[in-house]
Amino acid sequence: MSKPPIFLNLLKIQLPIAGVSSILHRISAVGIFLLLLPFSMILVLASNSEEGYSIASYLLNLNSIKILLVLLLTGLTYHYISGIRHLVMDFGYWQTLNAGKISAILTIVLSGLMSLLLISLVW
Amino acid sequence: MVTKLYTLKRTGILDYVLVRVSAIYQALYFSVITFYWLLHYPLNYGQLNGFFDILAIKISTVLVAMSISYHSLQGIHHIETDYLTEPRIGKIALPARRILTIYSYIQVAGILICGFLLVI
Repeated sequence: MSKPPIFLNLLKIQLPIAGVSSILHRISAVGIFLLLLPFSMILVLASNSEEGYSIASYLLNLNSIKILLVLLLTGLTYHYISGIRHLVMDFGYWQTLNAGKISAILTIVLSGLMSLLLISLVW
Repeated sequence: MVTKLYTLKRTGILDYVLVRVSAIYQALYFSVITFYWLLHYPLNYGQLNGFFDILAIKISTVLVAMSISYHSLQGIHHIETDYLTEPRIGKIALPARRILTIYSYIQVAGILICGFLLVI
């Protein structure tokens, strides 16, 4: 049985832009997976009692939590937009090389802009 | 009908479809929520509490918690069977996959509990 060739010099592997978009989809998925539960706990705290709401707004005013919140929101926006792109491709559109490139660039640029907007909303 | 569903399950087509369906549902839910909260932007406790008293929001929040749990279990399973394999990281792959799976079940339980706590 022959082994498949393995080439793992990460500095020399150049992903095409569609590949970058795809791996970012997975990375943002892991980020959401790690951060969603703590922030939904804060949401439960905030919506169940008046004191809980003030504790939650105190927590959300801390800079470290704000950074985590921006990371979560950026991941969510990226995953949302990129997920729509994947769905469109599942239905059979945008499947040529050119369309894939353009939609990947559009996805990254749009979610970058959205993330700037979110940073300005959170701060 | 039963055999048809069983075939779908065995080939993974059911999982494939359900992941997409839950994704579309979550996209709709979060679009509505974001739009609502941007309209009422500096929100206070009364608004937040009243928002989760609306019956439609209650039902769709529980449904979205369930759909997030399904989607994340499937997603973590995809990621761990792609990256945490023996050719990539060696003998530690199997225990690493098991730990990640157990952690994802705990996390999903947390998300479901949060969903129910939001609506009661």
